[in-house]
Amino acid sequence: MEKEIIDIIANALDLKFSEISIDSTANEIVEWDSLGHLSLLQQLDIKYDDITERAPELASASTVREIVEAVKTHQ
Amino acid sequence: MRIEKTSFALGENKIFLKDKFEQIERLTAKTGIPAVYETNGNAVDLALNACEKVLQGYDRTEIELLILVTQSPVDLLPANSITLSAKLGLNGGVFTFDFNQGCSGFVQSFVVMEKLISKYKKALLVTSDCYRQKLAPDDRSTNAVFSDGACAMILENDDDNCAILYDNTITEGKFRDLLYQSCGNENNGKLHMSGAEIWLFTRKVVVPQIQKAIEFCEQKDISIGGIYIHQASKVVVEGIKGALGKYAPKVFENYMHYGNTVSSTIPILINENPVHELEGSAIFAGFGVGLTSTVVVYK
Repeated sequence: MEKEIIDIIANALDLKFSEISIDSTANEIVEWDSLGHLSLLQQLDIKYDDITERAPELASASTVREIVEAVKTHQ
Repeated sequence: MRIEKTSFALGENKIFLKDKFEQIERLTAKTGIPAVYETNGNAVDLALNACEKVLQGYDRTEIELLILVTQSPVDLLPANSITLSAKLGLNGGVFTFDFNQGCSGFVQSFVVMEKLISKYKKALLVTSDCYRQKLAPDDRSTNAVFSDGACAMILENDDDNCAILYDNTITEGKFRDLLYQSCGNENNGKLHMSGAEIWLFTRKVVVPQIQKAIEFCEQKDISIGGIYIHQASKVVVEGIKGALGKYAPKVFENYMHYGNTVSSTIPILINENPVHELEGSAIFAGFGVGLTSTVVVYK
């Protein structure tokens, strides 16, 4: 599941899968800006049935690890 | 309270984002905004420009009330509306005040204006913001959406032939940190926007608020002719439209032409899609900085 989520993040930010890892953070990725994050939430909602409704902490997450853990907890 | 006439003005510099930022296509695909407008002047200049257009052929000495909605003040004192009234040559008896609200500012001041119009009869409601002066040069997300713009609207008392039938406001000051510009050094005095969390607010708060207004109309057998929502960006407008079901086609859009002009997006929409031409009532929905959100039904 971790790979699946990282793939979604990479797609949302227009990155290659290899350009992102579980340890990546928003501060390190220029594409992970305010609107990039918004795109990311939309992709997660599509994949995991409006998961941002159940996991609002996704909106303020700033690391891949936080996103993976939130999705695992609430999906 | 009747909307007599509207006019608007944009910053004189049209900036195509692809010319300013590398690899901006990903962002513009989400925002739907290929170009933004920026002024070399200020919010009072823009307001003056919009007001002069709207007052052409109108006896400006009859204006008794002026509200200037802005979060781009030129002066901390006096009120910028006072300066504007002088530049416009309004009569010395005009009652003016500044209204410090952003993207919900037009709708909120429209509600206030309706409470005052029975006394003041003829009024000018002006929105004007120059957010581009507030942006950090390297903040692509905000640079890709905000435009400088102003809109001026003449309102007249018509003994409630036209009126606000419903209004609802939500004020959530606990979300201040999601969209702010500090007078101090916080974020180096530049505007901060947490786009993702604001988007979540529009989904969780604004959409149900608009749906309640629609329910009100349905219960009262009021037909809805048009829905004017704040033009934050494509992703926000499309998101709200997608939640409004059969009413989605009633939603007007122009973010692709002007960008996010903050307090002026809704009155500019009204300028392009006059309320009096609708077959039915109008819904106005303004939301943003605060965070705040106000929705009205106006017939």
